[in-house]
Amino acid sequence: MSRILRRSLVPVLLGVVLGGVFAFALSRVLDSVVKGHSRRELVEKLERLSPEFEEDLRTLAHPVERIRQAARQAGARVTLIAADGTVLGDSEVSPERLEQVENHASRPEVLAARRELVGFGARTSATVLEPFLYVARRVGPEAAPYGYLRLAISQNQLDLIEAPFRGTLYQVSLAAGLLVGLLVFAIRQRHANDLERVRAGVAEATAGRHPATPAGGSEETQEVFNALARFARLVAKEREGREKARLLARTVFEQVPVGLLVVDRTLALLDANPAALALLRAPAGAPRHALVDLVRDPETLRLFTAGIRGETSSDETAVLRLGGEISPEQVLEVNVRAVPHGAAAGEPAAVGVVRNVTERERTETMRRRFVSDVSHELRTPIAAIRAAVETLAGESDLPPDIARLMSILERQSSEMEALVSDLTDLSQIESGAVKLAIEPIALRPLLLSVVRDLAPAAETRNVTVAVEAVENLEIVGDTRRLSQVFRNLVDNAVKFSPAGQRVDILAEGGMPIGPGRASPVIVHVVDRGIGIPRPEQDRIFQRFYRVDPSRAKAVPGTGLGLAIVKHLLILHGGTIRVDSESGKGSRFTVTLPAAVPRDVALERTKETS
Amino acid sequence: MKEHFFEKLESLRRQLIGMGAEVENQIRLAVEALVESDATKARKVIDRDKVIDQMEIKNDEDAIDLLATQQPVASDLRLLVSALKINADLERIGDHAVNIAESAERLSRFRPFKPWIDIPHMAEIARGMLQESLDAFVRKDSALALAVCKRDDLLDEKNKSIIRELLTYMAENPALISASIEIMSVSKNLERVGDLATNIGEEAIYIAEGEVIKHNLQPNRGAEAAPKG
Repeated sequence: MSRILRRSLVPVLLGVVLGGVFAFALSRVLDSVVKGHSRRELVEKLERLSPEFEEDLRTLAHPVERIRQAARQAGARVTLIAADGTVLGDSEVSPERLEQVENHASRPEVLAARRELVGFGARTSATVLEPFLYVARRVGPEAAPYGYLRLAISQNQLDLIEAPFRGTLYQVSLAAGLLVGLLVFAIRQRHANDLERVRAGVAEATAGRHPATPAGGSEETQEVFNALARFARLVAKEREGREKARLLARTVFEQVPVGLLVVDRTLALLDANPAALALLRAPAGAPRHALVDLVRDPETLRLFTAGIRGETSSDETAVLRLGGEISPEQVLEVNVRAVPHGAAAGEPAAVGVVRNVTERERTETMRRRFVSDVSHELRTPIAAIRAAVETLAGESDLPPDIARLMSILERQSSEMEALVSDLTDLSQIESGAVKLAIEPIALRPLLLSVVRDLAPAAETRNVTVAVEAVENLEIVGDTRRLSQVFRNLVDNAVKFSPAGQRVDILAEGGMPIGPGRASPVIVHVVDRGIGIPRPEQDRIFQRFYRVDPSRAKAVPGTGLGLAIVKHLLILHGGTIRVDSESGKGSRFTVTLPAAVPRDVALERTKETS
Repeated sequence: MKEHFFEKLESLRRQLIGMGAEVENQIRLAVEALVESDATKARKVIDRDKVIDQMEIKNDEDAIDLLATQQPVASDLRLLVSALKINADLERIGDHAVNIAESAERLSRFRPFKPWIDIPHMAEIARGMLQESLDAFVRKDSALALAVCKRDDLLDEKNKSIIRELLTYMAENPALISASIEIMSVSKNLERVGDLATNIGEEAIYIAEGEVIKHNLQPNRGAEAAPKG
């Protein structure tokens, strides 16, 4: 409503102003029409009256009574003026005062009448002090006029004539002005309606609906609406596509059996799918503003914090154990992926993927327990068999056939014992039952003792083993377990070396690199044997993996040695790597943390005690 | 201005829960270090306490800043006041974790003279109470908080029975006295953790209900007290 008021304000003002302009112009026209008419009337009257006063003018008489009579007849003031300008009579001036009236020879209407028979003038009369319209006429011949007859009517009298016209004139003007204003308003309104229709159409179109073309719109509106209809179709198509994609994404998000947690860079929880809520045992109706409302495990939270900064790799996981007092114990594995561009708060910065690995964990535990139980149970009978076989084999008077069979028994039972012992070791290491007795160890003596232990085997194969190690190299670890590591590695190197070749053991590193820190110790075990084909190199550290089944028969072994080595090194915080080329030999590289330089180590023990 | 306040309040709430998570973990690691005689793990717990102390200071400053500058009312005020108390409680629990870890460090030098049964059980209860009191705080779940408060008696009972048992050991074999005293201290610390978890539970109820249940655990106390005026 107020919009209509606002819109009509300008037209109304315009109407009033235009009305005023019209009224002014028309009143000027009216004025001139009325004046012209009066002048013509006065001239006619003068024509009629002048013969009557010709005689009086010639004799310079003062016909007072006739002048008054003429004035009444003409309805105007009558003045009789002699040729020299002396006033002989005036209908408005008494005869006694005639002498005081000034000479009229210089009056503009008189001067004009002398030249052109009739003369006009308009001014305020000096005699009666009123605005007058004057018309004078010459009487007598042009060369020697007898005098002049003058008629005058008051302006006020003219205004009285105009007055009735003027009222009508103002009304008409105002009406005309308002009409124009109304017209302007109507045009404006029409345009505004058109615009309003277009606006509604655009609103419809942006919502993807077909805009209804309005009835009675202009051709331009029609064209605009055609364009809008095309636009609406585009919008609808685009929207449909996006809605489908959104629905698909939502469906996947909600149905996928993997828990998904979406967080922003402040770790506010933006979204969590039903699987995540179920896995994390979030009660219905519990608040979910922040990640900490669902997960409070510091390890998992740290992983998310790292994930937001893009510092996690896809295989980095946190393991969440949910207690089992009421519901069964559950093991969850969480890993976090950074979302690119999630810079602002409220935007996804990382997605946490929660998987239920309870079953996997349980199977793994069962496998470990089974292996550990079986190997434990096998130890005793095998030890008994070994003892019996050794006793029998010691007999000197065995028939040759029996002696051959006895040697097979001896060899196979010893291999079986090694296998069971390896299995026991591995299962203990994997289950975390192995406790390391960590202490500083001098590396060189350790390596030399390993070589000494393996000397008989090396001699049998005609392989020499050389140790090259810096004198004071120290590492930290469990002596027995690290001996096992190097024994396995050197034993392998000896086993796979052709006769007459050399196996090298090189140790280096352990240099101080700052206060209380030393570079890791690196030990290489190098053989010049058959080598390991590249595709197999990653798999040799898996349990029971043997590179070549045919070769496996030639060289005895359980396939567990390297798996044990790898696990023991992980327990020590070390690593192992292999570089090898088929037919040329292998180089196993072990890295172990160096012992802290002596003086610093002493300080630290003081600090803690 | 108001939005800013809620943002800060939410951030304080998150910090507090994060600190709770850290403290929960400390208790777990300290008891693990004890049971596994793992001095390295114990040392980690002791070192980690610095982080918790820093968290406490930050939470304290943030809460006081909000109290001073925003003059919160009603539930916001309750949350802030409780946050201050929970913050202090959590810090104390962190200190108890350190005490347990220190005992673990010292005990790792002794040969275990009896299997670990009661202490891990107590630790399980104390940790469960802490966890559930934090859950109750997160979810504004007063029923859960009340359940936590009631479990405290169990812990007190356990503590007493452990002390009695250890006293008999000490009487029989004076060589076990120093180890026994360490174990007693662990037991005492766990009992204190339970008390502090109870405090947190009480604060959770205060936040949820706006009712003080301190020093009285009757759930319908408010209704009974009303007629007396």
